[in-house]
Amino acid sequence: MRWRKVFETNEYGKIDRIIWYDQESVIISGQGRRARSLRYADGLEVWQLAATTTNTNSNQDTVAKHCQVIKNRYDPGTIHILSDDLLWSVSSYGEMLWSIEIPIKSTLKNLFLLSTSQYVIVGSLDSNSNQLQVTYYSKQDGQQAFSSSLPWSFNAKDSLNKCSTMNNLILCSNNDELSIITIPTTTDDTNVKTRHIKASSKIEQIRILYESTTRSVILIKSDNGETKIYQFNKKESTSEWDFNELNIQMKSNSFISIATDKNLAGQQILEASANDQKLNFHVSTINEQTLTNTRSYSVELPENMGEIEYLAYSVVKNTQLVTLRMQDGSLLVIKLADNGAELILHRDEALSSIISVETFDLSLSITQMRIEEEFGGTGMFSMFTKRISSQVSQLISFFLRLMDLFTHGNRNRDYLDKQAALVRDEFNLNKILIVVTSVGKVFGILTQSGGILWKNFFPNFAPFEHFNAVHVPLFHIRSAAHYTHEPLASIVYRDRNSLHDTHIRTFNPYTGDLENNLTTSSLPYHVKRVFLSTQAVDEFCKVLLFVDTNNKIHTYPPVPLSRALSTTIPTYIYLFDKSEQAFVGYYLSIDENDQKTSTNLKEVWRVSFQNEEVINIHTRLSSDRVHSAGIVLGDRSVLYKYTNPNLIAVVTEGIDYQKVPFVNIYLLDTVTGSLKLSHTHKRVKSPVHIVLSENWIVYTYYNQRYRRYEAVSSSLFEGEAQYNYSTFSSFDPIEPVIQSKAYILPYGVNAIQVTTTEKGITSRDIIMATPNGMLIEIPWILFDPRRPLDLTPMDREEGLIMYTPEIMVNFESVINYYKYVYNIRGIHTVATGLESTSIVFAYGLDLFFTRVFPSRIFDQLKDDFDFMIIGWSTVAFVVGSFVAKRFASIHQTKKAWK
Amino acid sequence: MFEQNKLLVVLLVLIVQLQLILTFDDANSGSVSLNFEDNIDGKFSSFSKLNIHLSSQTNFDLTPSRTIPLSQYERLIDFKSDYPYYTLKVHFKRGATQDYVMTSVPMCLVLQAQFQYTVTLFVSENGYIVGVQVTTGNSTCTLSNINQIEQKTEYNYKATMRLQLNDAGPQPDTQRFLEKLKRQQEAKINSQDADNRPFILKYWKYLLPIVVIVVLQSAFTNEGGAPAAGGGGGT
Repeated sequence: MRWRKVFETNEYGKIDRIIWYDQESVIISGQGRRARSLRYADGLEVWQLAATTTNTNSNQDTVAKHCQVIKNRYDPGTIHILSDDLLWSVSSYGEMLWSIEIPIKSTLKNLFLLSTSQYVIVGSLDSNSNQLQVTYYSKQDGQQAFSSSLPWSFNAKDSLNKCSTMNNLILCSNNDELSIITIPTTTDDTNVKTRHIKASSKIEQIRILYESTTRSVILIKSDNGETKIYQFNKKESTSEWDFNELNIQMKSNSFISIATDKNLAGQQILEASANDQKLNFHVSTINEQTLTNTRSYSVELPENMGEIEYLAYSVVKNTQLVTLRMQDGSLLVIKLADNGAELILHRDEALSSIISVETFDLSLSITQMRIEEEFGGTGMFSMFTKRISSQVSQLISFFLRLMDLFTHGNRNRDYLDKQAALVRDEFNLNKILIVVTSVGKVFGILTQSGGILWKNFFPNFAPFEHFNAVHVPLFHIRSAAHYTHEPLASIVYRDRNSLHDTHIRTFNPYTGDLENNLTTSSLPYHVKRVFLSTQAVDEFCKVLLFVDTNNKIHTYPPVPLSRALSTTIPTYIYLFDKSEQAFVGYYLSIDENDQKTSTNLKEVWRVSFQNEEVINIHTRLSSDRVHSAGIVLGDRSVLYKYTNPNLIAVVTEGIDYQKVPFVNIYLLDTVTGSLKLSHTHKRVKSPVHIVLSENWIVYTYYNQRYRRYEAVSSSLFEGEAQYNYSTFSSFDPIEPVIQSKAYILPYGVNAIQVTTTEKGITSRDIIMATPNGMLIEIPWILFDPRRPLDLTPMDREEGLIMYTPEIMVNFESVINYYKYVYNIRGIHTVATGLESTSIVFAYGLDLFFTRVFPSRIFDQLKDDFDFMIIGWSTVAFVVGSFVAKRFASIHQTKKAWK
Repeated sequence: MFEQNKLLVVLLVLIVQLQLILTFDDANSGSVSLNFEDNIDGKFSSFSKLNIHLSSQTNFDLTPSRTIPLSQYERLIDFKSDYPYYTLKVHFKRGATQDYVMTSVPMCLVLQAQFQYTVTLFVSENGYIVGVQVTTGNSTCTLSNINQIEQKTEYNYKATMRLQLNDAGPQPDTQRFLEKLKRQQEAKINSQDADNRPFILKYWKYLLPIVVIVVLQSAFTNEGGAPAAGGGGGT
């Protein structure tokens, strides 16, 4: 990759159209409000222009903006942009030629933008009189020249969806008919001509394949799969066009692209279609009405990539190149040559749209497994024989390995290395990441190298909606702890075509092979929520539990509920009702002898948010461990933590009676439906990022009043005494004491997460991804809500730091150094076998993986540890003690003789 | 012209006042009517109703409209029921909005406390009820505990209600921090200002050792070099 440019995450980064020139391209983004030019050679942004508007924020949020960008065919260096009521022109060398604001009326909507050699023409729909007002603006200075109107039968929405513009033509589909409306280009000609093309059934799509001042090619696709291509030719010295159909036979799923080159005699048309793992191409030259010189190519793809989503065909210096984007997000570049087609580039762009991540431990090595086996068995005799036999086999395999090493050397080095990569290391630092992307491609990634181990594509994939985001439930069905059985992971997703159908796919995370017994494509109920059973059922496998739309709970695979869930501890489930903005808690009681595989839920609590909209919820990580129940204060007393495992954080947004926007953060107990914390922040904007762990919560938001990012940290304490030291119950009458502090953050926040360690002894660090590409590791003690403003000796004894309103970020705590990662959407942290070490995986547009040591490396030797000194000094001490012993005994003997 | 303007201003002021009253009415004086229901009869039935004004008081006592006869109490003690939970449902009506919130606690906790419990209502920013919580002062209960309780012919609800409003979220405490910095700086300046003693008095601690060393050194050199010096003096 030579260069890349990351655009803004807000609306100014959304590209509307790219206009390609020889040396650079002009990119229009932000709903036609930004224009910039990028040079191909080095990715340098040559210029950038912003539209000058007077009414910027008037009705920005409510009305969906509409924008049209065209390149003037008669003057290719000029680009006209119509963004709602703003019409402006820029030249390709970065000069704003002119910009005018078209007077707005509520009934008048600007829809079409056309250009001629003299005029820029705006077609606006007057919904009162059902007329299309055509206004001509001078191309030189934007002065309004004249206007006319013509009858119009479509409404604004239909006009946008079903019409396209081309030169001075507006093409609109109306069921099975295509209307071609010719807009006059000069003042003396006012004749609007409308002609029709009939199709065999309802027209689905009109695509303009090629456009120039004299010739154009369009494609019409009907809903019965029939595709027709028409060629338009301009009549001499008029503004009218002739058209004729090209005689071309096409498959229903094929894509078409046209390339022109100065060296080529005519234009070449490329038809591409995907078929399983094969891409087929047909290249022909367009003649008057027929195609000649048809050549066919086909190329085998390394994996199934689904259908074609985008196709571009170009001829660069006599090299025919096809660029494709496939359904699975792959970017392909294929070279067509005389000796056939060749795949020259394949990139998995799906990796930039990860939505779910899980980590699996690698499998034990054979010797590690034998050790596990060695201590199994029941009864003295069997245990003895097992130990002896396993030790004998260890000895034999050791000798065999030695033999192999001497005789064969490094014969299958590569194979062995690959095998070794899949074996768990001593400290369980290397893992395998399972990532699910929003296009339906699942990857298995090795953490030590970042290499993709396997990938699977599910073509009918659609993610579930989860508040304002999408998500795909990904579960550990069987963990890697059971060395006799391979681990299993399951994903649950909806069908792309019928969103009520749910698919379950279970696979082996090491190989990606599907486990067909646990894979299904149809559940006889509509799924509202899915979660994992608390108990393993058969062969250490957990089962999936589904709540359907009738609030009934089912198991998959069907097993009695009494085996899937604990019968002694009641199960509580909460669901969110979006239409009423209410959380409802349910209770599930299971009889031990009950063999039912599904049962109804009973409503036990309800929390409703009136005039507030729930925008997100956040649960604590399942791997969250609390090591100590309290904090030792400076005076040697203990402050007990309120560690309620049933809490979730709820974020709501709303507008209060003074019309001030606010954001509320609640901590909701999901057993009783009570609120343990409720914070209101006025004049604050989402997104709110939350970390919930142990007895504390940290959340960040944007403060509109001070225009800065802030973080609030709150801790919940039981107080000086603990209600129940052994177990926690949500029914305990504890009123948690809340301590909170707010801090100013030096950067914006894209995502935050907390480090995870195996036992939770290591202190916690907050990992924060910032919009400028940094991943910052901030110790939690900087967020501690107990940081005092005036530090007393007692506080110092406890190790508290004095309160400062701003959290100072040291550049040493940027864990990705200068490897900046952009648009991070989530951070995943996992514990390793070493208590000091936590794994961090950040994903978004870029991926980043590293290990962090929140309390430094306290359980490892440093890299520069001097083994020689320790070794030699041990030897010296041993020798010294022997020598001393000898001398002592001689001394003793001498003493005895005296 | 002037008259007209004046009239317009008066009218405007009136409109603004009216709007203010309306918003005030909508927000603060809007009372909330509450209806408490529980499920001890097997279905939800009301046992208390209450009208409250937000922002005036936060603690209330519920006045029960019915009692629990002994027979019902004994029926509830029989835990074989399919649903061993005491569920409290609070219907609320505020302006045109009405909704309900509810919560549950194990039935035996309420029986053990003889229907004496605390209800906490969580009130949102806009004056709506978000959630409800019931606490009885215990988290565990046993049948023997309940049986030890003296038998009455009928049991009365003794419920107190508490309103809990949303806390204002904390703000970065820049003001106090800056004040503190200022105080520290002032203290520093003051300490420098106050010290206008003469040079000798200020630094005598550092000067004294030097003086002592010099004196001692000269004394020693005098001892050793005295003859030479004396000799020199002699000539």
